Amino acid sequence: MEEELVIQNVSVHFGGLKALDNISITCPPKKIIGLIGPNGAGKTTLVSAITGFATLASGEISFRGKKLSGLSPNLITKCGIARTFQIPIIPKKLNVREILDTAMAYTEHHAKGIGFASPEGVASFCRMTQLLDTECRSLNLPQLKRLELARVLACGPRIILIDEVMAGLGIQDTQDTLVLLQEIYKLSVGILVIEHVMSVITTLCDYVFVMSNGKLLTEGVPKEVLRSPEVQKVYLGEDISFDDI
Amino acid sequence: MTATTVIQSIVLSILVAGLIATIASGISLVLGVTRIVNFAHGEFVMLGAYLTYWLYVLYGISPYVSALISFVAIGFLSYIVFRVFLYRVLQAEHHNQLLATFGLSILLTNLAMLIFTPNLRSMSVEMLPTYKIGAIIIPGNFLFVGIMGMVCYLLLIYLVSRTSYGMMMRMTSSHSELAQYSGVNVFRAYGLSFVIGGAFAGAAGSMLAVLFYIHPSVGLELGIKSFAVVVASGIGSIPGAILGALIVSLAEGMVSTFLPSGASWAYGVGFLILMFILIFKPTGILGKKH
Amino acid sequence: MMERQSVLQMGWLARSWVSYLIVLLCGGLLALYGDPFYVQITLGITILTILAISWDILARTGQISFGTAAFFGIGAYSTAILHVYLGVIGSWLIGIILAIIIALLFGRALLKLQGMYFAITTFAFSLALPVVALVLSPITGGAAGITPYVFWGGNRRLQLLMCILFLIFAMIISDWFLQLRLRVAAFLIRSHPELAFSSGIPVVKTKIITFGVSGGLAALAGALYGGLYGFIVPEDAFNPLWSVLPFAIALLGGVDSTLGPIIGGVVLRILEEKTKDLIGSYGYQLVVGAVIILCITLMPDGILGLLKRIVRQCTNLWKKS
Repeated sequence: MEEELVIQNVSVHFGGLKALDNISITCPPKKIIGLIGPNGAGKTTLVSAITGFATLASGEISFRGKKLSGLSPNLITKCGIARTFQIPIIPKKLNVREILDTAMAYTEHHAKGIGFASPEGVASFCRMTQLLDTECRSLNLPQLKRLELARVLACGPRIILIDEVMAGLGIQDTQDTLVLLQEIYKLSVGILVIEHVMSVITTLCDYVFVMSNGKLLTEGVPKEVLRSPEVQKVYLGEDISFDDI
Repeated sequence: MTATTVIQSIVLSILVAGLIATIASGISLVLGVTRIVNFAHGEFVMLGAYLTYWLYVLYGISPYVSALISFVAIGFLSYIVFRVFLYRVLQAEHHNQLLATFGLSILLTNLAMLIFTPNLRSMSVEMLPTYKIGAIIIPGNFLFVGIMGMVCYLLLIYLVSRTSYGMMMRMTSSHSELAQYSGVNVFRAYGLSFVIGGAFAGAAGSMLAVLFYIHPSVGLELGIKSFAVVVASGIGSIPGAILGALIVSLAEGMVSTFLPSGASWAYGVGFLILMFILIFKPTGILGKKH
Repeated sequence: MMERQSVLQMGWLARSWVSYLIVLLCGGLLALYGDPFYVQITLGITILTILAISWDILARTGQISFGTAAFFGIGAYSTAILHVYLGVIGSWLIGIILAIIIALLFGRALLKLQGMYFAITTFAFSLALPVVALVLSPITGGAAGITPYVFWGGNRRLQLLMCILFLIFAMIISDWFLQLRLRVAAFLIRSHPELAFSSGIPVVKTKIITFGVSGGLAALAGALYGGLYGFIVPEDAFNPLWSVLPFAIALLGGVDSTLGPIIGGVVLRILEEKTKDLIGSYGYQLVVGAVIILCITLMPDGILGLLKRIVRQCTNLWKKS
């Protein structure tokens, strides 16, 4: 079955606000896809809609032919779609191993399918072995973001939805995360990244979708899309640099 | 079951609703502003009731005056409880707040049992004359409750919408962060809402004293019912509290009057209604999602 | 603090059997040789501790119930009513299964309610049920009450032994839910539900099942209560005290544990008796209110948490020397 994530005519309403407005996106399978757009465009809402955290007012989302709407988020995770959270959630009492072990156990060890049999395996892949027994409250921001990536891997996903994982990271950490994402891609895991750091989009993504006001503005190959004046216009006023494209 | 008895029952139920409406409005205010669930609110009502009772028995003071005294005294007491204990609960996790204020409720109920003894007390209400409109008889104490309920409601609306204190509380209620940046002393708004909530609980206590038997546990059931009314009618909505109080009061009144031996279990009907409302519309009848 | 699994990974049952043995021995010895006064008191403690365990199991998933009395009463009534038709064992089996079914349905209905709404609805439920009991008086005996079967002909010692065995049963269930993986899952469900969902944890299913188990245990306690004295009336079976004392006990002893409710049950009763001696028979339960307030503001981990901290300090000091 094709690893296709299909979003068809999806609308999500928060009270009177149309967070997603009849948006349709078909993610080409086994690629690294970028999702960009100004703040408030609805990117995180789209991820929430895909993963079952937001109810669809209309439309349909399916993955590998299976309809996702109406399923609870844990079932969607088990279907192979794992997400990170823009602001990392920090369960104070737990350590890294417990978080990874929980994800592995409750996704019925799907992680074995991508080569991880234990939390140690995931931690080693993400260069976090030394942090396995550290409690979450003692981790700094780059470590928490890395934990998010480790956690989604522990779910044994077919596609991961990464929400602004570079936010707040310095140059070295951004570079390390970039490398990690590329290594994850080599595991045959599809990736969708929401990002504001444009250099990441151009380095990493094969294809990019641009959102604005809950709608799909345009799509295409990163270099072309990011050079288009239409796209640059919606970012007007935001602190985005298009210079290093 | 004649038209007269039906109307009589309805009239009395509406008047009695004044009691629950006052309690519920106070709770709604405190809840809307501070988001603290004070399960001990019913105990403030109970204390107001005892105060009214003792003022009458010892000094012959009329409930109309005692209502005012209770208003002030219990408002003050409420503020002290807030400063000493409840503001600490503000920092606790939400579910601990519920448990803590419930613990306070038990503490106060038992203290009252200790000090006042569990004996049922009742106020004679001869000083409140009975009125007759056509065939409908309105006992003086029911009228008192209806009038006081109305007065309290109007006073509350005035305080909340017309005064600067009210503005402060409303801002804190809907946008506490914004209120902070605008220079509103959020802590002060919290304290104020507690004072006013407590004051109205005290006034409600006088209403209770003339209607029902007074005993230490009277606050528990009334408190929970008022909470249920607030929650089922939408938190922070004071008109909602009135509406909910009317529904519950009418339902109980009808059951009590017209169903055989209904009086003994009418109180449960209110809870059944409220429970079903919460199950089918979790944010309450007039509530907004928050 | 979450208990880390030791290097020697023992099964959960293997680690807990000592506590079961201690409870069995203490309870058994008391039942057989103790003063009748203490036997009577311990009967009460046992019932309340089972309720406390029931409350705690539910609270671990973030569902803080104020209506434990509801299922307590349902258990008492259902077993009493069915006894005429099904005998002792039949009425207990079917009665408690019935209570579990009601709990599962009710738990499902309450899923959308959080925090205060959940608390009030559960409390309202427990206050509305006496009405049902009064209305259905042909079946329930109405205000006059119902007379369930009395176990062991009223012999308090044998009754206590039976209650101790059921207490151990409740402890086993509690410990089952405290297995590390389930415990972490419950923690995530109550504190970080989005993370729980995203880790594949079946949040909805877990909450409903937990509600069912908790309701079933409370119903068991109610059935035991009925079998002790042979007389159930609505105000008694659904008395809010059956909702309040359990969580006071769990808070005092230490939530999120099995030993906590055990410790709390004993200590609270002792405190109540001492206060009764001091104050008299009215209002002595203010100590319950005080305990709740003190535990939440000063001792959130309860007595068990305090003991663990002391042990840890001592071992740290010992390691340093």
